[in-house]
Amino acid sequence: MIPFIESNDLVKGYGSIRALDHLTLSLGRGKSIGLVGPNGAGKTTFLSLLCGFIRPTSGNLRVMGHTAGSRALKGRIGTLPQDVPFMQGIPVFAQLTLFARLQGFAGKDARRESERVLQLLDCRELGRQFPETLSFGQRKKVTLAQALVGQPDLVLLDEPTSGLDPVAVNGVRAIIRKLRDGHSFIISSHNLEEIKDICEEIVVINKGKLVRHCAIDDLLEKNSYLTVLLDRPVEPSLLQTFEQMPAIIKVSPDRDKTNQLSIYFKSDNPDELQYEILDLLRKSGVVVNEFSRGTAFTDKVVELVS
Amino acid sequence: MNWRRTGILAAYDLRYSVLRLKGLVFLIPFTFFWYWLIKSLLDNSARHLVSTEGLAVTAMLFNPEIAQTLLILHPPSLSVFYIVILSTAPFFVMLGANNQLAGDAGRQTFRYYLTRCTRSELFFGRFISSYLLVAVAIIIVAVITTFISLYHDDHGNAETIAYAMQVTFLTLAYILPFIAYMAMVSSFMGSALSTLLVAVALYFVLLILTTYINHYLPVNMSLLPSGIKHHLFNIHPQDLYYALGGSTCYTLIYGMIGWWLFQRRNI
Repeated sequence: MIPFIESNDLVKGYGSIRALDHLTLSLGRGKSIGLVGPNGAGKTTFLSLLCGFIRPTSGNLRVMGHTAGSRALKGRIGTLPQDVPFMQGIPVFAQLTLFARLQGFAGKDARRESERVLQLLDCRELGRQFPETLSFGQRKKVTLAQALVGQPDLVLLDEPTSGLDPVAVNGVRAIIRKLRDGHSFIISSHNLEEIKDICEEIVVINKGKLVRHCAIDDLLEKNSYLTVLLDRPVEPSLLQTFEQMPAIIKVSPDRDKTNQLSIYFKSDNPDELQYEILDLLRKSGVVVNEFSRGTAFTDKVVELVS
Repeated sequence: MNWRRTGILAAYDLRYSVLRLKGLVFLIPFTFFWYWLIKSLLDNSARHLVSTEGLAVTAMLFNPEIAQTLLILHPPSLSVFYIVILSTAPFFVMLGANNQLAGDAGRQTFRYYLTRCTRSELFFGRFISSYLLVAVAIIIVAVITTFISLYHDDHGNAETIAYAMQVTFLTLAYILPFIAYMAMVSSFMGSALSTLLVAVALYFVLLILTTYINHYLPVNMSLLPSGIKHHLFNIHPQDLYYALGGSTCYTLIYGMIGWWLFQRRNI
């Protein structure tokens, strides 16, 4: 089967700087994929190459079986570029209608499609306005709306919620969750909780190189790790009690948070073990503030790019 | 290339250019300039050029034969329009076609377009819209001048209309390479203003180079389309073919360079 996105030995250089350095990657269809990495890791460059905004220095990149940027992909990729303004002096609705027409919609259908995407983001009233009169959050909404025009097969979102208020962030995440069944998403974000919340897979890149590509559950090691946040610092006697349990391989308190505990285990029945641990904690008179399966996501990603 | 998408891009750009800075920067000076000239033509000022003194001045600018052809054998009002429009074409085209690609490429607005259409469609869509903006303005002035000529000049109606069509066609052919020249500069610049400044600077550099080459090489060589202008004033068919061929060559050369650069630029 042809991979949905496939890059082989992909290099993109800007003078002496290599934004992408021999990146080889294969992504499947119908997934929501989080693209993470520190500033300058090459995330935006990778998204720009996928859209054909820039050309690779060497190597090749194929999307849906076609070379990135090729004619066959026009209208099949929707993108929310970071901080790119709409054209000034032209109402939002007129611009969305143009995009719909370029994607093959005829006159009335193009207007209907523009209304649909504005409705989807609950911002129909913004259609009549000029982009320069919109607030940052409103601009983000309409640019997200343009990414969804024509229901593209692949949607690329570069920092989709940065600069939005918490209500708008929840709204955008809800929309992505709603749409991800019918589309493939690649979301580049520094907000790791957002990636964990929305995506199924994660691609970690650093200095233009692939560090890790896996399912988020695998990264979190949900079936072999527990993270427990207690109401007080962990006592050594509690650690010894845990270590005596046969399924537990290692127990380690967090270096920074003294009341957080990571438990590494191996068990055929992790659900049962979970209850046993909670029971043990209750008997020890310790209050559990948070209890989650898997390692702390942020710590894991930081560890990968460090 | 998808011509439907190219047409949509051209029509959309043309429609919104008229009401935005992009078009107004050309339309306002063009309107003022031609308002002043048309007002003067309405007062039948072209008849002064048909006098002995007028012919002598025109002969100094071109040659006696061209002066006689333009002002006596043809309706003088239309000839004045023709001389002035050809002489001012580079300036007005630079104003009207400087923002074909540079502004939207520099602001990265093209990122919204490039997932929906190809770079070639964008390039030709903008080229066509810029050409139409300038061409429609010229056609409007040509129509007004034709009515003035029909009223004032002592030539038959059929002859005046045929001459009006001829000069309009030649003018529209003459501006084509200048639009391509602006497309070429616009394809690698990051803003409309920088395109305008670089286009003017490059124009003068090419002008000086042409003068330098012609001084040392005994051939008539030009790096700019204004080199074909004197052929357009010669209404002889042979000169006209030469001028039209030259115009096509310049358009192809500048256009191809611009297209090639735009295909390769990062957006």
